[in-house]
Parts: sequence; C-alpha cells; structure tokens
Amino acid sequence: MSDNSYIIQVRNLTMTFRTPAGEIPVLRGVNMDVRKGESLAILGPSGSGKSTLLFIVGLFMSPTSGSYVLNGRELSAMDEDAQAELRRHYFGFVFQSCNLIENSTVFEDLEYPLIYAGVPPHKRRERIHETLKRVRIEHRINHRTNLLSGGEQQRVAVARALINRPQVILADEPTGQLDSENSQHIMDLFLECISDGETALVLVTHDHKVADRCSRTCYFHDGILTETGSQP
Amino acid sequence: MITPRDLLSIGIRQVIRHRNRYYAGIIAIALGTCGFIVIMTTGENIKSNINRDLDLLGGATMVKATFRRDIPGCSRTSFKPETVEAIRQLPGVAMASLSGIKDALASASVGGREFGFMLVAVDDVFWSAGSYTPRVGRFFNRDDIAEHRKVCVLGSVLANRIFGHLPAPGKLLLIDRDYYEIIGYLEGTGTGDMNQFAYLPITTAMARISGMSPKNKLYIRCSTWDDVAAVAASIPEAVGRAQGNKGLQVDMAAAQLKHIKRIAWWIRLFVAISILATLGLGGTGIWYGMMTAVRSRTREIGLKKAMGATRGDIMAQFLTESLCLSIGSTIVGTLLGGLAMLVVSALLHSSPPPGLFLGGVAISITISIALGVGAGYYPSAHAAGLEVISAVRFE
Repeated sequence: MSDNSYIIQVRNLTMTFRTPAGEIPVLRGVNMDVRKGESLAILGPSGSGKSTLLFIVGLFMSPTSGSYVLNGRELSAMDEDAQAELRRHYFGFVFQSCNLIENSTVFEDLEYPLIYAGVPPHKRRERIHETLKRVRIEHRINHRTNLLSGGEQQRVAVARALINRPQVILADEPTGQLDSENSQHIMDLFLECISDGETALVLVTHDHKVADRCSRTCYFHDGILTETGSQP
Repeated sequence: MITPRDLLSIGIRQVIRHRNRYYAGIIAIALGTCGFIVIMTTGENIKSNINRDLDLLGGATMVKATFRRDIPGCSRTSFKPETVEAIRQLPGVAMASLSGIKDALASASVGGREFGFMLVAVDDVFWSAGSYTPRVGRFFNRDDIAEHRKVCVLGSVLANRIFGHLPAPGKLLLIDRDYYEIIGYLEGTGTGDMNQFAYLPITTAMARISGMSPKNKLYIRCSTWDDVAAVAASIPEAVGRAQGNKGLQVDMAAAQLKHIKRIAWWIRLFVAISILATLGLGGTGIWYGMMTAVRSRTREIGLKKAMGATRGDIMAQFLTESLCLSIGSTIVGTLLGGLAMLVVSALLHSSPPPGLFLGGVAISITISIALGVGAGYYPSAHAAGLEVISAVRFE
C-alpha cells in the first residue's frame, strides 16, 4: 500500500455529518494520492466537500470511514494532542482570509508555530527572518498585521505555513479574497516554496487560473473526487 | 508543550494589549487587596486605639484586683512587687499599676485656709494604664518613684478649689505638714471624680504620709477587649502562686465589654464582607473579561490549534492570562495598601511590624492565585475545547 514517494494516500474516505434534520453525506468514498513535491488543486462548487477533505487531511476532523496514510503511516483513531503533534510536524496551513492573529506583529504571528514546536528562542528570530526573506516581506517584521495590505497579509500567512518546514502545505482558497495580480504572486510563492521537491501543496480553489498552475487538478462534485488533468 | 517563559511573556503581552477589557476587574481586586492589607497591618493598632478611646469613656479593658479589707485577716494585705511582676507577665496584660489611698482625708494649707481632699498613692504606669494625659506639666516618671521625690499631681478641680486657678508647675504645696512640688494637673475625658484628688508617688506616700492604706489595689490594663475575660480569670491563680489570694476580688466591666464585643463583631463582619464582595467582584470581572476574550479571540484559538497548539497549550495560555490579571491587580493593590498602611500608621503614631506586611502580601498573592485560577478556569477550558474548524471560521 505505501510508497515512499507518496506523502498522502486516501482510500474510500467517507464523511457523514449527523444533524437534527438527518444525516448529510459529504464525502462518498474519496480516493486521493499526493506525492512529495507535487501541487494538487481541488476544484468544485461550494458545499461539494472539498474543504472537508482538506480538513480531514489536515487532521482537523476524523472521517466516518476509510483509510488515511500519512507518509507511510496509517492513521487510525487518535486523540487531539496526537493530531496536534502531527499537524506541527507535517502541515502548514493557509486559510482564505483573516488568518493572522489580531493585535499581533508579523514577528509574533510567525513565532507561535515555533513556540508550539518547541524551537528555542534564540533560533526563532533567525528562522523568522529567513522565512520572511523567502516570501519577500522581511521589511514588515515589526509591523502590526492589521496594518498590512491583503496581499501582504497573505504572504505572512504563507510564511507562517512554511516556518516549521512542513512536508505538506494545505491551502483553503488562499487567493479567494485577492485580486488577480496578488493571486498570481501568491501562486508564484507557493510554487517556489515547493520547488525543493520535498514539499507538497494541496489547495482548494474556485479559481481555474490558480488551479491551472498546479501540477495536478481534481474536481469535486457531490462528494466524489475525479482527476481532471495533470501537467508534466 | 509551550514553556512557562513563553506562557508568561504571551500572557503579559495579551493582558496589556486587551487591558481595556479588564479595567473593572483590576480595580476591584486592587481595592480589595488594598483594604485587606490595611486591615491586616493596622487593624491591631486601630483596635488598640479604639480600646484606648473606649477606656477613656468607661474603662472597658481595665481589670481591677483588690485585697478586700473587710475580710478577717486581710485588712493589711498588700500586693507584693513579685506579684505585680507576675501579673504584668500574664498574656494579654498591657500594663499593671499599683496604688493605695490614704484612709482619712489629707489636708493642704494655703493662705491660712485648710482644704481636705483624697490622697492617692500611684506608680509611674498609673497614668498610661488609665490613658490619662496631663493638662499642664507632667506626671510621675520612674525616677520620681525610685527616688521617693516629694512631688505631687493635682486634679484640676482640686487645684481650682485651692488656688482659684491652675498655678504654673513648680509651686510648693503643704500637704500633711510637708511641702511637695506640684509638677502637673490632671484633667480630661474619663477622669471624672479623679479631678478632685491629689496624687503622690507611691514610694513617697508610703514613707511620709501616715494613715496610708496598704498597696491593695492593682489596675490591670488589657491589650484588647478580647483579652479581658482571660486575664480576669488568670489573676487569682497568678496571685495565689505568688503570695496567696485570700480576700482577693477581681472586677471587670462585663456588661460594657459584652456590648463592645458585639459592636466589634459587627464591624469585623461588615469589613470582611466588604473585602470579600470586592474580591468577588474582581473575580467576576476577570471571569467576564476572560469569557469576552475567548469569544472575541475564537479565531485566534482556532489558528493556534491549526499551528499545532494542543488543548493543554490553549488552556495554559488563557489560565496564565487570568493569573497575570489577578496577580498584577494584587501587586497594584499591595502597593496602594502599603501606601495606605504608611498613612494610617502615621496617623495612629504606630509602626506595624514588617513581618505583618509581608504576611499580608503572601496571603494576598495566595488569594489572587486562587481567584485567577477560579475565575479563569471555565473560560480557559471553554477555549481549549473549541473545535479548530468552527473556531477558524467563527465570525
């Protein structure tokens, strides 16, 4: 089942939400593989289940059934702290909007993942400078995040996702609130960040222009994922 | 797991950044702590001052021990010096004063006229035991007693009767065919009939005045009204051990004492409830502030969990913020309390022992930790239990 080149392997994944009005099936037997170094865009209409899949992959929620192998390790029922531990080690997240911590500076925002990962204080500053340089926003290090432009905020969010050197970047509509120019800049950044061949990118988007820049594209419809194309 | 150093720096930073939300709680805890420290450090001095003032009005903390002269075999019994010393050593005794009285009226001769009056022999602590202050001049000191000096203090009513006014101290007065220098006059609240008496040092009177009664009266001033009953109960045993207690009678103002104790109990209850209510309000302020913080920072909590924070990390962060708030407020209250203590002590002319202040600070910090944990626990647990997705998407 496991292949060293795969970082994520999902088989027959289902997710059903139980509500007072009845059960709502969101994922209906999803299969998905993600290799190290590749970029996968998941397209689909609102409510189709693409974000739910991303959150299951990111260990924010557990599936109703199915198999999820992360870097060769089968993940079964885990407690919250074990999930947090894996999140710290494997994933960097970028959300659609307002995903920076209010009333904090860029430095403080980027410091949190390092604190939770147990990075000692003297190494944090170095790592933050290095990462901000990588996303070309180092000059804003001591600025309050709420004073940055939308594009700058999203660059900081990308920097925060990268700071712990994750193996997978999960992005939930990262360009949803940006104009096309800034969207392209963010995509440039993502693709540059995974160019080492070790980091994978899984992003959920509505924007075909964004999806077209990824190496693979999948389409989600009614809880079922279908591969629609790949680029060399 | 987040380190204590990071927790503290994040906690302090968050409290400072969100301080507007916490002002009410901070003020309430600071005031409660200030009140607690003032009461704890100066309470005993305030109580002593109330005691003294009450004594001026009625001698509520005074116990009187007398050898009755109407009991056969006791008519000439005096308190021995070692008995007086033993009583001074009893717990709760602030001072004890020995006195005697001339059996018959003494007489003074001025301008060919004779005046009769009561003559009382007292020691140097008699004045402070009764909380008396001289209107003019001074009272007897230790040297007057030790050297058997021929000095006297007159009640101001007696002096006016004899001279028509209060002559300057230093004037000589002929009492029972011997001259004594007038060194001061007694007058003031609570002196009553004592304004009509003349006073001689007990050593001088016993040596020079004929017809003095034995030193059979001992006035014992207790430290506070709480000590009166215990002191009164222990006197017969102490006297019995030192010289035998046959004919000893111990009197105290039991009815007055009961009223005073009741009033004091109500005052204490009122003060304790006020401090508790203030601290309770502070705790509620912190609780409300923290709940508001958790709600307004729901997305932050979700983001932190997404970054890898565990349930324990989030819980510890909010509990630390709550503790920073309560301990910070207590530090402000301690500074205010220390300042207020200095002012109150200066007004009362007293200086509380430093250990009392440090004890007050230690208790305040302990209370503030309990308050911080108590008020912050639920909001912190609520924050820690939030689900990542709903927290991140919270509007």
